[in-house]
Amino acid sequence: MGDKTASRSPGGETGPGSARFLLRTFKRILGLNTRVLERMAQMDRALGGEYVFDKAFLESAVRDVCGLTHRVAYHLNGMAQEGYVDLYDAFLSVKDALEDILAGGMGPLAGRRTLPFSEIGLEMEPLVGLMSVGLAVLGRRMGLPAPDGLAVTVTGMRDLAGGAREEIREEVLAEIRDGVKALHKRLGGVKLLTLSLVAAGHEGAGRVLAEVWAGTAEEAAKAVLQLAETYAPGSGGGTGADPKASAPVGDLPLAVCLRQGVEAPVRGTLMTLAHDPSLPPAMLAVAHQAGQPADMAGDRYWLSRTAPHIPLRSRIAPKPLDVPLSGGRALDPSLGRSLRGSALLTPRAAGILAELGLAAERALGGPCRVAWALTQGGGLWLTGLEPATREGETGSAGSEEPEASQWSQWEGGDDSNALSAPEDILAQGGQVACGGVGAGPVTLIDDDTQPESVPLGAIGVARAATPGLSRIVPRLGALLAEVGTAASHLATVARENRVPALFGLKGVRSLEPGTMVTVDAFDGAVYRGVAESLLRQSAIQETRVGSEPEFLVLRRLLRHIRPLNLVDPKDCGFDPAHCRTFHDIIHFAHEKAVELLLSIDASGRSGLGSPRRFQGDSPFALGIVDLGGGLSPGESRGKSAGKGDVTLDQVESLPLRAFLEGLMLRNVRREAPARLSLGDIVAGMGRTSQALAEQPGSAGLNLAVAARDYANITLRLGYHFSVVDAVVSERPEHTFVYFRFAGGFADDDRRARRAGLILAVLTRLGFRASRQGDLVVGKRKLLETNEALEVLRFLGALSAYTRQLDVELASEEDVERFSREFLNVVGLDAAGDAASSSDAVAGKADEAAGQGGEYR
Amino acid sequence: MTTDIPGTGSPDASTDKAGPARRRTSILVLDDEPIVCKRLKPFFQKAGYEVEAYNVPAEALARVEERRFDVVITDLKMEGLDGLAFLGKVKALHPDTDVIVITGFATMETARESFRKGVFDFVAKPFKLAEILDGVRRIEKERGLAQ
Repeated sequence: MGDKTASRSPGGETGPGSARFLLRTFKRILGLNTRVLERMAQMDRALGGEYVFDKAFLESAVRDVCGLTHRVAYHLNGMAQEGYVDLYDAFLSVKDALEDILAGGMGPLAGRRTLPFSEIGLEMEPLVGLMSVGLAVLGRRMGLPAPDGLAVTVTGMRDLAGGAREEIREEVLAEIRDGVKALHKRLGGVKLLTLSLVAAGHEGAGRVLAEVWAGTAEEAAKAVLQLAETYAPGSGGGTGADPKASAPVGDLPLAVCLRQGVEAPVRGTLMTLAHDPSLPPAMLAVAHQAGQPADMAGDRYWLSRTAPHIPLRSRIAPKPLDVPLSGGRALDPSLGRSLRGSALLTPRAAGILAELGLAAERALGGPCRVAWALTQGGGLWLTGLEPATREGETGSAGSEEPEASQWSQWEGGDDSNALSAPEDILAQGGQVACGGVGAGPVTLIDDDTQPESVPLGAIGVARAATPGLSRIVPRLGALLAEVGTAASHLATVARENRVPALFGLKGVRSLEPGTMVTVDAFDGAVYRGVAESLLRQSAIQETRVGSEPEFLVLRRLLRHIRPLNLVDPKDCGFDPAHCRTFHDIIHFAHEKAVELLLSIDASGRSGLGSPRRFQGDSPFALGIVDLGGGLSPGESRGKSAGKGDVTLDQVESLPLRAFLEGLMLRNVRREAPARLSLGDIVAGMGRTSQALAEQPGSAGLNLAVAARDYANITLRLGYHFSVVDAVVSERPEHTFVYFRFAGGFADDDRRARRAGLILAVLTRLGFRASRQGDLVVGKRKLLETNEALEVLRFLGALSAYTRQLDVELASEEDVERFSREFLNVVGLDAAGDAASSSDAVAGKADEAAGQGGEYR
Repeated sequence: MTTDIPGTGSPDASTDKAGPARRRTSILVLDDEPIVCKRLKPFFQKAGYEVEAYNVPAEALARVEERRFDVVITDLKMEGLDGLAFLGKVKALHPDTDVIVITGFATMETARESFRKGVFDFVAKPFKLAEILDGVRRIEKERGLAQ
């Protein structure tokens, strides 16, 4: 993509391309984004059973999100001079898919006969079946141990079924061979493949009807053909005479999941939600030795659904004396002719298995039956997935799960003695981003946290609910954030993954990492320890999610609307072509709109009108242009103010005022190119600012463009150039502060050192900052109002402090010394938490205002 | 979508167990979208009400001609019989039956028309179960019905 801002047509003060137009359109995008997210949240809640809805609701919801998202794309193109017209293509693609679903269709890839896992997303379940969707999403998207593979789609199986024209069958077989060859290439050679015939279609039945194995591409194609013919109409399983009617096996469309086979001495199944009247809702793992006779019982472990997933009960089958055990040798093998009490799964392996199962459950939207394998080296793999066996139904072949018992026996069967006591409440409040209950160890996370480093089932605790955490969410048992709202990008991601989440929960970052906690998102509380009764009630509720056709349609619609695939704006794939959902489109538009706003060329002043000179105790002259609500009307009341001048009292722009308050702190100014100690700073207080003596005409170099909630401050001081761009809104997700700095007077090394100093301070202030030579770019998003204003005061102070500092930075030690000095001066320690320093500068600014611009 | 939900066309068996001193409030639900009936019937049953649910307006009309219900909850836009017409017939047969209208096409005009025909409350789809329960409880309070 090229520079979308390079050629703006002049549009006067308010027309397209003008700063006022950009700001107005930017705000429209923010407002529309919020409405899309709120509509998504309503659809989420409907899916969760909170609302009674009908088909008309689905149609109106789709109509609304389509209309709103289209307007987002339209306004972004307005800001970018039609620089993102391909966003309309992405929009139309999603809109078509949604309309297709409402009309009962299979989606945009309905014509494909085979699909590699890399192309499969959750929304494709009716086309490829639950198993391929599950393994593809768990393995490729969540990074869990699941084999690579491909699917022969419902379309492919229909074209293979008896009655299809020979050349069409040959085409399909050729596609399968090609797909398998490509898979073998990815796997590094010909590997044993497992093929599962699954029931797919709109009902998402997901049942496994048959399982076979193959090696070469030719063998795999033949095996698929045999499955298609065996289950084709008129062959025993079929029903209709019309092969195009996609109705083999009692009206169920079929698909095949081909994936790498996993060789393992132990394998088995896991029901993620097992019913037993004598136990709380648990998970049931069944383990078999490889090659074990079919009539020999396997080990059974009923596992707690809460980390660390201790076995609540186990039934260990007798085994031959020579069976290898993953936990080592049996302690006492001499008890008769069989090993007794020796388990195939160690508690640790069972715990990992349980977490994999819960991750699968979250991804698939409900309880499921996972097939797994434990390799010789101790690695656990997910090898298959099916929906949970419903009450009264027989599971698939070989299923050992007992008939489901009534959940109602548990409902109210437990008294409230296990409910957490008030003294166990560690945190309370916040907004419910996703309802539910989760328990696990506290793990602090941020945008830089690698997903693999987060234990499955952990309670992720973040400062801000940023979209960058999206990749971690599927691994979490619950998510807590100090800043964020229920109508944010990450809230949508949490609901998509059914991860209980509370946002806006103050002070939660102080939770000790590793502490076991229970999050009750419904009730807005975090409890110490594991509150079993809460987890139990939550599990009971989750079993009641609707299965009516409208729910299935809504689930499919949401898969095209709410997943957030575009997370990192720095990623090369962050472009319209990679927007697969409406959420992607509005997030992309939000990021690009911020960039476009940043590019307001305030110094050029095109279409901005005349600036008014700031008449305050600033270290340099500054002109201010009011975009609306940034300055109070009327003349300055200052004694030395000239006509049209503006004093701090008249600055009504929240971000600009905060910046100026920091800028006017005299003790952070560096008036002369000399090394300063704290004593020097104190001694320097009260000096008359050089800037005041500057001529009004020079104000054009430094210009602030301001509205009530927005400021773009461009400073050209000597040879350096910095831009602060900020929106401060009551909605944290709309608030951001950007800081860009470049240039300087000194040699390259010294300029780079000043950039290093600024980088260090920005990082300390919680910015995501990067440096390239003497260019520093820092961003902070998702801030509460007070926090954002505090950050702007720091930036004002930093701008004053670093002015001409480059000439003094003779060594790297100077960088460290000056950054420490600055942090000290503004009341921050170098290693502390920026968020906890609330009001540090604000307090000083208040003092400054009350004591003639100094504090003591 | 005019098929009745199996088993919903007959009075709830538990009705007989209720003694005359503690008669349950009776509710008839009419909506041609089966999902609405499927959600409302078990919900009200669990809350202790006697519930019958219908997807076919003609069947619901035949039922109200047979007996009186304390509360009727009806959709507005249905194939076969308009909800307002059904409302009018119910009020003509049983003036003391209170009617709650649920609809996904709420406009001021339809709301006004509904209230002119004596509707007790008007709930726009999608709605929360608690909202409609609140409407029923207000009816009970005003009518002095036991719950």
